[in-house]
Amino acid sequence: MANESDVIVETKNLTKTYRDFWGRQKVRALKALDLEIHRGEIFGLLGPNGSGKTTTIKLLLGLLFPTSGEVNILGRPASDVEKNEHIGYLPEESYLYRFLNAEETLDFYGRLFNIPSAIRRQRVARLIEMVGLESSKKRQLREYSKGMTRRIGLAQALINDPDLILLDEPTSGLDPIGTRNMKDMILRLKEQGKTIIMSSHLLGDVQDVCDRVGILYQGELKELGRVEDLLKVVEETEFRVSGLSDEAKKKIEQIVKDDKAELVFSGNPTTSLEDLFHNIISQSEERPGFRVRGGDVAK
Amino acid sequence: MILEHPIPPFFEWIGRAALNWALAVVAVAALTTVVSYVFLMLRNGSKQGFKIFRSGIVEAFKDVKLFSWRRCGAMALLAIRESIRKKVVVICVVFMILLMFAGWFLDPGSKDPARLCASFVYQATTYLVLLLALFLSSLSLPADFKTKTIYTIVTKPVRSSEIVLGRILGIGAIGTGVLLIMAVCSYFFVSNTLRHTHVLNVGEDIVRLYEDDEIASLPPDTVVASGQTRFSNGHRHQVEEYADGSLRVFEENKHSHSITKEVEDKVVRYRIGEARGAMQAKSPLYGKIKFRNADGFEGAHGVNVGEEWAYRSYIAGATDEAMIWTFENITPEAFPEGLPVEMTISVFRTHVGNIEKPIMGALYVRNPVTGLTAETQTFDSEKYTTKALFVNRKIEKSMVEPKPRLIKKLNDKESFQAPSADLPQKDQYDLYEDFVVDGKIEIWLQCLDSQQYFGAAGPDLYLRAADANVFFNFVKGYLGVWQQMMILIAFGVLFSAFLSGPVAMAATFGMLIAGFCKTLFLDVAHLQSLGGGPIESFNRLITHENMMVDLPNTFQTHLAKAFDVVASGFLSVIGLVVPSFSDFNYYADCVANGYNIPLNSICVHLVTTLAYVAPLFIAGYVILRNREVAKQ
Repeated sequence: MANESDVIVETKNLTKTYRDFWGRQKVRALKALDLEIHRGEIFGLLGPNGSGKTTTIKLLLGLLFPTSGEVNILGRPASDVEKNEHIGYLPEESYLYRFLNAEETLDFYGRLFNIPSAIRRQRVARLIEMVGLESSKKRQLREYSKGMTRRIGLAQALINDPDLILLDEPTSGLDPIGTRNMKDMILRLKEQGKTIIMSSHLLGDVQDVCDRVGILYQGELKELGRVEDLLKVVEETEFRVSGLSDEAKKKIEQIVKDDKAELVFSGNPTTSLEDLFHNIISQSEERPGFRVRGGDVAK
Repeated sequence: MILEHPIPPFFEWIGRAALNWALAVVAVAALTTVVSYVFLMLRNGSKQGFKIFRSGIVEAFKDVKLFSWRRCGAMALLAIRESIRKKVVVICVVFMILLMFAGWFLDPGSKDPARLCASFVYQATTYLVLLLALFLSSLSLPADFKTKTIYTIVTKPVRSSEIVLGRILGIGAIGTGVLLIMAVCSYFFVSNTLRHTHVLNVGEDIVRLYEDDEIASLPPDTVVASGQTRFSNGHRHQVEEYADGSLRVFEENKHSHSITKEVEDKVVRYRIGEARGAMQAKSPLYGKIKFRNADGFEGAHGVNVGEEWAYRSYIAGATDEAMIWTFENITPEAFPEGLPVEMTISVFRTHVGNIEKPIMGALYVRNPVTGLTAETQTFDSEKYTTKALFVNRKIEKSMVEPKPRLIKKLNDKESFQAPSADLPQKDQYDLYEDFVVDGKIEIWLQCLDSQQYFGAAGPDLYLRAADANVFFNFVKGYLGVWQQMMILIAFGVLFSAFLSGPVAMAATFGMLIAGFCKTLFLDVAHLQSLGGGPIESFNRLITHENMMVDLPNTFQTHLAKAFDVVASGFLSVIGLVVPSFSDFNYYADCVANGYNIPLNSICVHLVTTLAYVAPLFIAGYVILRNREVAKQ
């Protein structure tokens, strides 16, 4: 369990109500959110569309003002501009200046951090290489595909080598390979000691990378905890065995029967669609004549 | 050139202006603070409201302390890149196309072609640049909100002040660049339009009046050949050759030409050079004016000739009334040969008489201490015609006479300073030895025709010092456009900090229109316009009432007038805030009329520009600082 000094994001009774022009309540987007996020973890905000994930991130960043409650981020209130020195933010869509090219984009954001020009140049080159955009670094962003825009968006979020990174729907609009790369990148950032808060409605993404998740629904935090703890089905036991004979299977079924337990499922396990997809892609790259028939991977 | 409100000396003006400005800014700041505090209290309760208010004040101080010019520069650079990538330089191409076809509608035969061309280029530049500034300043920030790129800015350690100032400076830099390109293009356009020469063929255009052997015996100023050049640029010039061999091309359309004579194998040819003096940058040295009435009293005003523009005061002809200008800093180094005097006098005729006969006047120089006076010139004057006279350094005895002068008024008993008895008696007087005391000299002007009047204001008569560089003066003329542009940009950025693009643009445009019509605006605000205030005028419009007649004594009329009184206060405040954009046309007027733009007015206008831009920037910062960036 992390100690209190490791808490780098804390919200207390955080509430946000959107009002119309006349001050009348339009929608209550977030209700009394209490949250603590610790240094070095990947925290996922889960929930369906309109559940308050993006509102929470915007409140943390100071893009919205809370109706009530408090936000402390890196020991400072959300309204403190200085906190941004240590924060990287990738918005839901990559809201970047489309008339700039990749190099100019990163250089511009680097200037906003007062990074000296020599270091800025090195960092821009390294980040462009990291997100794989060397060949298109001179093209204006208006010519970029959505995946490329997301990648340069991530690079701008990392230009200041932040301690805390907020990613709003980081895999939104990415193809499966882009999604995998993004998730790998997030895990690499965690290895570097960064704290990451990401929001997503794609459960698989969150499950793959997050240490802890908070599930929001209609502006309320419904569940909070470690991913494996939340997913664990305590009442059931799972064995995964390969090369088991039919006779051995019958013996196992008999043992279950004798123990007065119930056999919930018996059969061949399935992989996830994502794993299947990546398997096909990697095999296709290794074996050019490779084809798929009827759902079976051809040998 | 008419200057109804002369620009005061900078150091006289700055103290009072700065005080007024500071009072206005402090009043607005105090009002904003109180309103914000009350609003926060009402919205969030006293405890939370105070907490937010205190946090806002603390953050504001931090914003000032931690302001970074580098980040501000990055924002400015972004605005420049955005403008360039969005191809705003197209406006320069539009301007060049406009210049290419300008010749079609500019009259080459104009009496003052330099003024016509300069006015045209300054107006065209003003409209185009202000249009550019309007679009860029009012649409740039709202575009960031619309595309949400502002999210990636404000989540960096950028302060709202850096965003607002960065926009102002960046768009200002683009506008300045565009303006410089236009200035250089305009200069070449005007120079090229004014450049011309004339043909002068012997026998056809110019006729010799004497044979060569006769000329030697003639007085040197006898005209020996006379004629007119061929028509070019809508005009021709009178040309004369004198017995002493000198040649003269008479001024036409405010310019002249050089002329040379070549004789080859007894064949005479005249060559007319390029136009000269078409564009000038005269540097006037202004004096302080006062008026002397027929009884010898001096005062700030002369005679009021009735329903006339009150800017000028008048003196009656054939009386002792005089207009007196006192000049300072007159030195032999500045005016070695004497005093070149230029004046544009208003003539008011009480009877038409011979309308073609000009009214006569006399010009005197006077020692302000001894009273020694010399009538140096008599001249004829037409209304608003600029006359150039020259007071020679050496003044003949016959011109000199003492004149008494009122020096003080005590208990309503006027006393006169009698001219000194020991005035120097010389055959020839020297301007600097006998008339200038501590750099001061008086120039008197009198009207010589009975029952006619001369009128003038201070700037109507001046001493012409050495001319300034025409090109630099032309470029300086664009300072007026630049200052208008900077103020408009500041307004645009301010409005765009809290309004959507189209609304911000409409508000900025409204401010521009109000600024150009400030005089009318203030007249309406002060209920001085014909037809009453805005509500009464509207009432007259819908009831088709003539604006010269009183409205019937009805409840409706009283109600309209009551509303007008309330509206008047509101409009007066707005009228004080709105910048007078038309004041900045002073620069273009100076250049178009051939005057150097004085440093004094540049300083006054620059400080005025800063006085607008600075609070507008602060207001923009405060608004953006307190705006919920991600609010839908």
